[in-house]
Amino acid sequence: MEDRWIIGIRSQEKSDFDRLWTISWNPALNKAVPHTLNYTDDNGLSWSFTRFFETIGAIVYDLNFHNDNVYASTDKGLYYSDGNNLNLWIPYEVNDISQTKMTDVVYSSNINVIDNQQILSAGTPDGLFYSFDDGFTWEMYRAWNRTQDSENDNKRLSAYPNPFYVDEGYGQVRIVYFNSSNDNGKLDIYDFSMNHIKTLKQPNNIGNESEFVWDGKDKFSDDVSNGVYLCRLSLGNKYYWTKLMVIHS
Amino acid sequence: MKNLFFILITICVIQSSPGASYEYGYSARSVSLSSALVADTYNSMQSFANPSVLNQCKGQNYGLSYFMMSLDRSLQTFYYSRKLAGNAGISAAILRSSIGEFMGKDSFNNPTNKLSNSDYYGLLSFGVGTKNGSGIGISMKIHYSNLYVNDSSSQWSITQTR
Repeated sequence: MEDRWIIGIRSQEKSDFDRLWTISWNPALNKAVPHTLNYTDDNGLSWSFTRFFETIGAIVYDLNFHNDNVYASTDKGLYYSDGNNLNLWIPYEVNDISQTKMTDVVYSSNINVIDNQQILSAGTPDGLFYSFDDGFTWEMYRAWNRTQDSENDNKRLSAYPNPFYVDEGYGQVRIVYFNSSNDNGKLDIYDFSMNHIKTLKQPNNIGNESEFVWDGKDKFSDDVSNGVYLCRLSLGNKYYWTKLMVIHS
Repeated sequence: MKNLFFILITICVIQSSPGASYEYGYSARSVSLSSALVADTYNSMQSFANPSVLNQCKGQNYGLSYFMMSLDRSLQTFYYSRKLAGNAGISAAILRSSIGEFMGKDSFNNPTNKLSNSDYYGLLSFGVGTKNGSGIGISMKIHYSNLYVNDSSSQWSITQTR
Protein backbone atom coordinates (compact mmCIF):
# COMPACT_ATOMS: atom_id res chain seq x y z
CA MET A 1 0.00 0.00 0.00
CA GLU A 2 3.11 2.18 0.23
CA ASP A 3 2.38 5.74 1.36
CA ARG A 4 -1.06 5.92 -0.11
CA TRP A 5 -4.15 7.29 1.50
CA ILE A 6 -7.18 5.03 1.60
CA ILE A 7 -10.16 7.09 0.50
CA GLY A 8 -12.71 4.30 0.00
CA ILE A 9 -13.36 0.75 1.24
CA ARG A 10 -15.86 -1.63 -0.33
CA SER A 11 -16.63 -5.29 0.31
CA GLN A 12 -17.51 -7.68 -2.51
CA GLU A 13 -19.31 -10.94 -1.92
CA LYS A 14 -18.08 -13.16 -4.71
CA SER A 15 -19.54 -16.56 -5.48
CA ASP A 16 -16.77 -18.48 -3.75
CA PHE A 17 -15.08 -15.96 -1.42
CA ASP A 18 -15.23 -12.39 -0.19
CA ARG A 19 -12.97 -9.67 -1.53
CA LEU A 20 -12.13 -6.40 0.19
CA TRP A 21 -11.44 -3.40 -2.06
CA THR A 22 -9.81 -0.08 -1.32
CA ILE A 23 -9.50 3.04 -3.43
CA SER A 24 -6.14 4.61 -2.70
CA TRP A 25 -4.50 7.89 -3.58
CA ASN A 26 -0.91 8.99 -3.50
CA PRO A 27 -0.85 12.34 -1.61
CA ALA A 28 2.68 13.03 -2.86
CA LEU A 29 1.17 13.82 -6.24
CA ASN A 30 -0.74 16.67 -4.59
CA LYS A 31 -3.67 16.24 -6.92
CA ALA A 32 -6.71 14.05 -7.15
CA VAL A 33 -5.42 11.70 -9.86
CA PRO A 34 -4.56 9.00 -10.39
CA HIS A 35 -6.33 6.51 -8.19
CA THR A 36 -5.35 2.91 -7.64
CA LEU A 37 -7.62 0.01 -6.75
CA ASN A 38 -6.23 -2.44 -4.22
CA TYR A 39 -7.89 -5.65 -3.16
CA THR A 40 -7.31 -8.54 -0.79
CA ASP A 41 -8.81 -12.03 -0.77
CA ASP A 42 -7.27 -13.16 2.54
CA ASN A 43 -8.47 -10.54 5.02
CA GLY A 44 -5.58 -8.20 4.41
CA LEU A 45 -2.64 -10.59 4.69
CA SER A 46 -1.68 -9.87 1.12
CA TRP A 47 -2.78 -7.16 -1.30
CA SER A 48 -2.96 -6.93 -5.04
CA PHE A 49 -3.70 -3.90 -7.12
CA THR A 50 -4.75 -2.74 -10.54
CA ARG A 51 -3.17 0.37 -12.00
CA PHE A 52 -5.64 0.60 -14.86
CA PHE A 53 -7.17 3.83 -13.59
CA GLU A 54 -3.75 5.32 -13.01
CA THR A 55 -3.01 4.58 -16.62
CA ILE A 56 -6.03 6.49 -17.88
CA GLY A 57 -5.67 9.20 -15.19
CA ALA A 58 -9.11 8.66 -13.71
CA ILE A 59 -10.51 9.59 -10.35
CA VAL A 60 -12.42 6.61 -8.99
CA TYR A 61 -15.39 7.81 -6.96
CA ASP A 62 -17.03 4.53 -6.07
CA LEU A 63 -17.18 0.79 -6.65
CA ASN A 64 -20.23 -1.36 -7.05
CA PHE A 65 -20.58 -5.12 -7.43
CA HIS A 66 -22.99 -7.57 -8.93
CA ASN A 67 -22.00 -11.18 -8.42
CA ASP A 68 -18.38 -11.32 -9.60
CA ASN A 69 -18.69 -8.21 -11.74
CA VAL A 70 -17.11 -4.93 -10.66
CA TYR A 71 -18.33 -1.46 -11.69
CA ALA A 72 -16.05 1.53 -11.16
CA SER A 73 -17.58 5.01 -11.23
CA THR A 74 -15.00 7.56 -12.36
CA ASP A 75 -14.66 11.02 -13.77
CA LYS A 76 -13.92 9.36 -17.09
CA GLY A 77 -17.07 7.30 -17.10
CA LEU A 78 -18.40 4.01 -15.82
CA TYR A 79 -16.12 0.98 -16.21
CA TYR A 80 -16.91 -2.69 -15.95
CA SER A 81 -14.75 -5.72 -15.18
CA ASP A 82 -15.81 -9.34 -14.99
CA GLY A 83 -13.67 -9.73 -11.87
CA ASN A 84 -11.26 -12.24 -13.41
CA ASN A 85 -8.90 -10.00 -15.35
CA LEU A 86 -8.67 -6.83 -13.32
CA ASN A 87 -6.38 -5.18 -15.79
CA LEU A 88 -9.16 -5.25 -18.37
CA TRP A 89 -11.94 -2.73 -17.80
CA ILE A 90 -14.61 -1.98 -20.38
CA PRO A 91 -16.03 1.54 -20.52
CA TYR A 92 -19.74 2.25 -20.77
CA GLU A 93 -20.80 5.10 -22.99
CA VAL A 94 -23.63 6.94 -21.31
CA ASN A 95 -25.48 7.82 -24.48
CA ASP A 96 -29.08 8.70 -25.12
CA ILE A 97 -31.30 6.89 -27.61
CA SER A 98 -29.67 8.70 -30.53
CA GLN A 99 -26.25 7.59 -29.21
CA THR A 100 -25.33 11.14 -28.26
CA LYS A 101 -22.87 11.16 -25.40
CA MET A 102 -24.58 12.56 -22.34
CA THR A 103 -21.90 12.60 -19.68
CA ASP A 104 -18.43 11.46 -18.74
CA VAL A 105 -18.58 11.86 -15.00
CA VAL A 106 -20.21 9.05 -13.05
CA TYR A 107 -20.26 9.33 -9.27
CA SER A 108 -21.94 6.05 -8.40
CA SER A 109 -23.65 3.06 -9.92
CA ASN A 110 -26.02 0.32 -8.96
CA ILE A 111 -27.51 -2.91 -10.30
CA ASN A 112 -31.10 -3.80 -9.52
CA VAL A 113 -33.00 -6.85 -10.67
CA ILE A 114 -36.77 -6.38 -10.72
CA ASP A 115 -39.00 -9.08 -12.21
CA ASN A 116 -35.97 -10.67 -13.86
CA GLN A 117 -35.19 -7.31 -15.50
CA GLN A 118 -31.71 -6.04 -14.71
CA ILE A 119 -31.46 -2.26 -14.32
CA LEU A 120 -28.09 -0.57 -14.40
CA SER A 121 -28.17 2.90 -12.83
CA ALA A 122 -25.53 5.62 -12.89
CA GLY A 123 -25.50 8.76 -10.76
CA THR A 124 -24.07 11.72 -12.68
CA PRO A 125 -23.90 15.51 -12.25
CA ASP A 126 -26.72 15.73 -14.78
CA GLY A 127 -29.11 13.36 -13.05
CA LEU A 128 -29.78 9.66 -12.62
CA PHE A 129 -29.28 7.57 -15.74
CA TYR A 130 -30.67 4.06 -16.02
CA SER A 131 -30.42 1.34 -18.60
CA PHE A 132 -32.45 -1.81 -19.22
CA ASP A 133 -30.07 -3.22 -21.84
CA ASP A 134 -26.82 -3.36 -19.89
CA GLY A 135 -25.70 0.12 -20.79
CA PHE A 136 -26.34 0.21 -24.52
CA THR A 137 -29.04 2.86 -24.27
CA TRP A 138 -29.80 5.07 -21.31
CA GLU A 139 -32.70 7.08 -20.06
CA MET A 140 -32.54 9.54 -17.27
CA TYR A 141 -34.32 11.17 -14.38
CA ARG A 142 -33.47 14.80 -13.98
CA ALA A 143 -34.96 17.55 -11.84
CA TRP A 144 -35.20 21.18 -12.84
CA ASN A 145 -37.53 24.04 -12.13
CA ARG A 146 -39.56 25.83 -14.69
CA THR A 147 -38.53 29.32 -15.59
CA GLN A 148 -40.58 32.00 -13.86
CA ASP A 149 -43.53 33.35 -15.82
CA SER A 150 -42.23 36.89 -15.73
CA GLU A 151 -39.05 36.13 -17.64
CA ASN A 152 -38.71 36.72 -21.33
CA ASP A 153 -42.29 37.05 -22.44
CA ASN A 154 -44.47 33.98 -22.30
CA LYS A 155 -41.75 31.67 -23.58
CA ARG A 156 -39.69 31.93 -20.39
CA LEU A 157 -36.49 31.36 -22.32
CA SER A 158 -33.52 30.87 -20.01
CA ALA A 159 -30.17 29.12 -19.84
CA TYR A 160 -28.95 27.08 -16.90
CA PRO A 161 -26.55 26.77 -15.24
CA ASN A 162 -25.59 30.40 -15.78
CA PRO A 163 -22.67 31.14 -15.55
CA PHE A 164 -21.76 28.07 -17.52
CA TYR A 165 -18.46 26.67 -16.22
CA VAL A 166 -17.39 24.66 -19.23
CA ASP A 167 -14.73 22.60 -17.48
CA GLU A 168 -16.84 21.65 -14.47
CA GLY A 169 -19.72 19.28 -13.97
CA TYR A 170 -21.07 17.70 -17.11
CA GLY A 171 -19.84 20.45 -19.43
CA GLN A 172 -23.21 21.26 -20.92
CA VAL A 173 -25.64 24.11 -20.60
CA ARG A 174 -29.36 23.83 -21.27
CA ILE A 175 -31.41 26.54 -22.91
CA VAL A 176 -35.04 25.89 -22.07
CA TYR A 177 -38.31 27.52 -23.03
CA PHE A 178 -42.02 26.98 -22.63
CA ASN A 179 -43.38 25.25 -25.70
CA SER A 180 -46.81 23.76 -25.16
CA SER A 181 -47.35 23.14 -28.87
CA ASN A 182 -43.93 21.45 -29.26
CA ASP A 183 -43.03 23.70 -32.20
CA ASN A 184 -39.61 23.11 -33.68
CA GLY A 185 -37.46 26.07 -32.72
CA LYS A 186 -33.97 27.11 -33.70
CA LEU A 187 -31.38 28.65 -31.45
CA ASP A 188 -28.59 30.91 -32.71
CA ILE A 189 -25.73 31.84 -30.42
CA TYR A 190 -23.79 35.10 -30.91
CA ASP A 191 -20.91 36.77 -29.10
CA PHE A 192 -20.79 40.41 -27.98
CA SER A 193 -19.98 41.65 -31.47
CA MET A 194 -22.81 39.56 -32.91
CA ASN A 195 -20.44 37.14 -34.58
CA HIS A 196 -22.39 33.98 -35.19
CA ILE A 197 -21.09 31.17 -33.01
CA LYS A 198 -23.40 28.25 -33.57
CA THR A 199 -26.91 27.18 -34.53
CA LEU A 200 -28.76 24.53 -32.55
CA LYS A 201 -31.78 22.80 -34.04
CA GLN A 202 -34.26 20.12 -33.09
CA PRO A 203 -34.70 20.70 -29.37
CA ASN A 204 -35.63 17.98 -26.94
CA ASN A 205 -39.30 18.26 -26.05
CA ILE A 206 -40.11 17.42 -22.44
CA GLY A 207 -43.75 17.93 -21.57
CA ASN A 208 -44.61 21.56 -22.17
CA GLU A 209 -40.98 22.58 -22.35
CA SER A 210 -38.25 22.28 -24.93
CA GLU A 211 -34.52 22.49 -24.43
CA PHE A 212 -31.34 22.86 -26.41
CA VAL A 213 -28.10 21.44 -25.03
CA TRP A 214 -24.86 23.28 -25.81
CA ASP A 215 -21.35 22.08 -25.01
CA GLY A 216 -19.64 25.47 -25.28
CA LYS A 217 -18.12 24.84 -28.72
CA ASP A 218 -18.51 26.89 -31.85
CA LYS A 219 -19.44 25.68 -35.33
CA PHE A 220 -15.84 24.60 -35.88
CA SER A 221 -15.92 22.49 -32.68
CA ASP A 222 -13.48 24.85 -30.97
CA ASP A 223 -14.03 26.00 -27.40
CA VAL A 224 -15.52 29.48 -27.26
CA SER A 225 -13.79 32.22 -25.29
CA ASN A 226 -14.86 33.46 -21.90
CA GLY A 227 -17.58 36.06 -22.05
CA VAL A 228 -21.28 36.68 -22.39
CA TYR A 229 -23.08 35.08 -25.31
CA LEU A 230 -26.42 36.08 -26.72
CA CYS A 231 -28.86 33.31 -27.51
CA ARG A 232 -31.68 33.96 -29.96
CA LEU A 233 -34.60 31.56 -30.13
CA SER A 234 -36.49 31.61 -33.42
CA LEU A 235 -39.98 30.28 -32.99
CA GLY A 236 -42.55 30.88 -35.67
CA ASN A 237 -42.08 34.47 -36.75
CA LYS A 238 -40.86 35.66 -33.37
CA TYR A 239 -37.47 35.98 -31.72
CA TYR A 240 -36.65 35.61 -28.04
CA TRP A 241 -33.33 36.47 -26.46
CA THR A 242 -31.42 35.41 -23.39
CA LYS A 243 -27.84 35.87 -22.22
CA LEU A 244 -25.38 33.26 -21.14
CA MET A 245 -22.04 33.73 -19.45
CA VAL A 246 -19.34 31.21 -20.36
CA ILE A 247 -16.35 30.71 -18.08
CA HIS A 248 -13.41 28.36 -18.50
CA SER A 249 -11.92 27.38 -15.17
CA MET B 1 10.96 44.68 -49.61
CA LYS B 2 9.85 47.75 -47.71
CA ASN B 3 6.26 47.12 -48.72
CA LEU B 4 6.50 43.52 -47.57
CA PHE B 5 7.81 44.68 -44.20
CA PHE B 6 4.89 47.06 -43.87
CA ILE B 7 2.39 44.32 -44.75
CA LEU B 8 3.87 41.93 -42.19
CA ILE B 9 3.57 44.53 -39.47
CA THR B 10 -0.01 45.21 -40.46
CA ILE B 11 -0.93 41.52 -40.36
CA CYS B 12 0.52 41.22 -36.85
CA VAL B 13 -1.60 44.13 -35.70
CA ILE B 14 -4.77 42.73 -37.25
CA GLN B 15 -4.30 39.29 -35.74
CA SER B 16 -4.14 40.48 -32.16
CA SER B 17 -7.76 39.92 -31.17
CA PRO B 18 -8.04 39.68 -27.40
CA GLY B 19 -11.83 39.50 -27.21
CA ALA B 20 -15.10 39.64 -29.09
CA SER B 21 -16.07 43.02 -27.69
CA TYR B 22 -12.80 44.47 -28.98
CA GLU B 23 -13.76 43.54 -32.50
CA TYR B 24 -16.99 45.48 -32.58
CA GLY B 25 -15.43 48.87 -33.18
CA TYR B 26 -14.10 51.78 -31.21
CA SER B 27 -15.56 54.89 -32.84
CA ALA B 28 -18.38 55.87 -35.14
CA ARG B 29 -15.86 55.99 -37.96
CA SER B 30 -14.54 52.50 -37.32
CA VAL B 31 -18.02 51.01 -36.98
CA SER B 32 -19.19 52.63 -40.19
CA LEU B 33 -16.10 51.33 -41.99
CA SER B 34 -16.25 47.88 -40.37
CA SER B 35 -12.96 48.58 -38.59
CA ALA B 36 -11.12 48.68 -41.92
CA LEU B 37 -8.85 51.45 -40.73
CA VAL B 38 -5.39 49.91 -40.92
CA ALA B 39 -4.38 52.24 -43.72
CA ASP B 40 -6.53 55.14 -42.59
CA THR B 41 -4.79 58.49 -42.79
CA TYR B 42 -7.37 60.22 -40.64
CA ASN B 43 -5.24 60.82 -37.58
CA SER B 44 -7.42 59.46 -34.83
CA MET B 45 -7.51 56.25 -32.86
CA GLN B 46 -4.55 54.74 -34.65
CA SER B 47 -3.55 52.69 -31.62
CA PHE B 48 -6.60 50.48 -32.10
CA ALA B 49 -5.93 49.83 -35.77
CA ASN B 50 -2.32 50.44 -36.73
CA PRO B 51 0.25 52.08 -34.43
CA SER B 52 2.81 52.22 -37.21
CA VAL B 53 1.06 55.31 -38.62
CA LEU B 54 1.29 57.22 -35.33
CA ASN B 55 4.19 59.21 -36.75
CA GLN B 56 1.70 60.86 -39.09
CA CYS B 57 -0.45 62.43 -36.36
CA LYS B 58 -0.36 66.18 -35.97
CA GLY B 59 -0.26 67.98 -32.62
CA GLN B 60 -2.50 66.50 -29.97
CA ASN B 61 -5.62 64.45 -30.67
CA TYR B 62 -8.44 63.40 -28.39
CA GLY B 63 -11.26 61.00 -29.07
CA LEU B 64 -14.30 59.95 -27.07
CA SER B 65 -16.97 57.49 -28.14
CA TYR B 66 -20.01 56.08 -26.46
CA PHE B 67 -22.25 53.39 -27.88
CA MET B 68 -25.54 52.22 -26.45
CA MET B 69 -26.56 49.07 -28.22
CA SER B 70 -29.37 46.57 -28.20
CA LEU B 71 -29.54 43.77 -25.65
CA ASP B 72 -28.11 45.98 -22.89
CA ARG B 73 -24.69 46.22 -24.51
CA SER B 74 -22.61 49.34 -24.30
CA LEU B 75 -19.14 50.36 -25.44
CA GLN B 76 -17.03 53.38 -24.53
CA THR B 77 -13.61 54.50 -25.71
CA PHE B 78 -11.22 57.26 -24.85
CA TYR B 79 -8.22 58.06 -27.00
CA TYR B 80 -5.28 60.44 -26.83
CA SER B 81 -2.33 60.80 -29.21
CA ARG B 82 0.34 63.35 -29.84
CA LYS B 83 3.21 64.01 -32.12
CA LEU B 84 6.66 63.48 -30.67
CA ALA B 85 9.91 65.11 -31.57
CA GLY B 86 11.38 63.68 -34.74
CA ASN B 87 9.19 61.51 -36.90
CA ALA B 88 7.30 59.72 -34.10
CA GLY B 89 4.01 59.63 -32.26
CA ILE B 90 2.57 58.14 -29.09
CA SER B 91 -0.97 57.32 -27.99
CA ALA B 92 -2.92 55.95 -25.07
CA ALA B 93 -6.42 54.52 -25.29
CA ILE B 94 -9.03 52.84 -23.14
CA LEU B 95 -11.92 50.75 -24.40
CA ARG B 96 -14.64 49.51 -22.11
CA SER B 97 -17.42 47.18 -23.18
CA SER B 98 -20.17 45.94 -20.94
CA ILE B 99 -23.32 43.94 -21.05
CA GLY B 100 -26.16 44.60 -18.67
CA GLU B 101 -27.62 42.58 -15.89
CA PHE B 102 -29.16 39.24 -16.47
CA MET B 103 -30.31 36.51 -14.13
CA GLY B 104 -27.93 33.74 -13.10
CA LYS B 105 -29.26 30.21 -12.75
CA ASP B 106 -28.10 27.20 -10.77
CA SER B 107 -28.05 23.61 -12.02
CA PHE B 108 -31.79 23.27 -11.38
CA ASN B 109 -32.79 26.46 -13.21
CA ASN B 110 -33.37 28.32 -9.96
CA PRO B 111 -32.58 32.05 -10.09
CA THR B 112 -29.39 32.99 -8.23
CA ASN B 113 -27.73 36.40 -8.64
CA LYS B 114 -27.89 39.19 -11.16
CA LEU B 115 -24.87 38.90 -13.43
CA SER B 116 -23.11 41.40 -15.62
CA ASN B 117 -19.91 41.66 -17.57
CA SER B 118 -17.39 44.40 -18.28
CA ASP B 119 -14.24 44.21 -20.36
CA TYR B 120 -11.54 46.86 -20.17
CA TYR B 121 -8.75 47.23 -22.72
CA GLY B 122 -5.87 49.62 -22.14
CA LEU B 123 -3.55 50.41 -25.05
CA LEU B 124 -0.25 52.22 -25.10
CA SER B 125 1.22 52.66 -28.56
CA PHE B 126 4.30 54.15 -30.12
CA GLY B 127 5.09 54.65 -33.76
CA VAL B 128 8.07 55.98 -35.64
CA GLY B 129 8.51 56.72 -39.31
CA THR B 130 11.46 56.89 -41.63
CA LYS B 131 12.35 59.47 -44.23
CA ASN B 132 11.24 57.23 -47.06
CA GLY B 133 7.68 57.04 -45.73
CA SER B 134 7.57 53.60 -44.11
CA GLY B 135 6.79 53.26 -40.43
CA ILE B 136 6.98 50.85 -37.54
CA GLY B 137 4.79 50.79 -34.49
CA ILE B 138 4.39 48.90 -31.27
CA SER B 139 1.25 48.59 -29.22
CA MET B 140 0.83 47.05 -25.78
CA LYS B 141 -2.64 45.95 -24.72
CA ILE B 142 -3.84 45.18 -21.22
CA HIS B 143 -7.12 43.36 -20.90
CA TYR B 144 -9.14 43.19 -17.70
CA SER B 145 -12.40 41.29 -17.68
CA ASN B 146 -14.84 41.46 -14.83
CA LEU B 147 -16.93 38.49 -15.75
CA TYR B 148 -18.99 37.87 -12.67
CA VAL B 149 -19.87 40.62 -10.28
CA ASN B 150 -20.67 38.62 -7.17
CA ASP B 151 -17.86 36.13 -7.60
CA SER B 152 -15.33 38.84 -8.55
CA SER B 153 -13.92 36.45 -11.09
CA SER B 154 -11.61 38.44 -13.28
CA GLN B 155 -8.88 38.00 -15.83
CA TRP B 156 -5.86 39.95 -16.92
CA SER B 157 -3.96 39.52 -20.11
CA ILE B 158 -1.24 41.47 -21.81
CA THR B 159 -0.79 41.40 -25.54
CA GLN B 160 2.15 42.95 -27.29
CA THR B 161 2.14 43.52 -31.00
CA ARG B 162 4.75 44.87 -33.32
